[in-house]
Amino acid sequence: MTRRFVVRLVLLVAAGVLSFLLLDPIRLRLRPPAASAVIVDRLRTTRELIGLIVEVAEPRTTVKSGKLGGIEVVLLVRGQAHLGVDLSQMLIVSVDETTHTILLSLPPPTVRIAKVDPQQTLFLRHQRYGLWTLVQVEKVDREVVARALADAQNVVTATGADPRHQPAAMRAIEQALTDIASQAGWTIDVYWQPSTPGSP
Amino acid sequence: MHIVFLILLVLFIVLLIASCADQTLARGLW
Repeated sequence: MTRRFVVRLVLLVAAGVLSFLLLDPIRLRLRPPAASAVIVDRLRTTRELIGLIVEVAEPRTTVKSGKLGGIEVVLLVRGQAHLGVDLSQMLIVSVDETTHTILLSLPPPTVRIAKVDPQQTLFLRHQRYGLWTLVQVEKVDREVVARALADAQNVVTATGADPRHQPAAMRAIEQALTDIASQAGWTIDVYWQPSTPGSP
Repeated sequence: MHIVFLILLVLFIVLLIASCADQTLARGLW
């Protein structure tokens, strides 16, 4: 009687242990992923985050001169520079499950897109001086205008890369990240990496 | 009177050629 009881007991315990061993991995797999993992995953799938769009309106003078005269073209460059961060360079410093805070390390915002607005860009001045006023060689005019227009893209990029736009871009990106995380009840702190020399 | 006019004309033509030549030479050089 006692022996049968012991055998049953042993079988019961064995069945319990077996079911625990079998079901636990399944239970683990079925458990929803942690909120922090969802947020990090979402950030990883977002390739870049634009924080600030800088409206550019800058005059740019292009001068072509020879020995006896020259041409001066002043172009008012209008366009937009999109300042943002490349999230592929994002580093996760720490994930604190107790305070629900993720600390990210991000590179400083750079100009991701520089667009010249051709409809708003205009020539303020197109003037010859010196002996070049006597004969107008049109090919020279075309060359100077082409050079001025080609330079417009650089003007937009350079204006966007101005350090005075950095704090606003950083604040906007931090705000966007906070918005993403706050939906899951988390907060994101950003550590901005110092800009490496040579990068824009 | 004619000689003055002729000198001015020649000078003007020289300046025209110089202007044209200078612009042509300056092309493509930045």
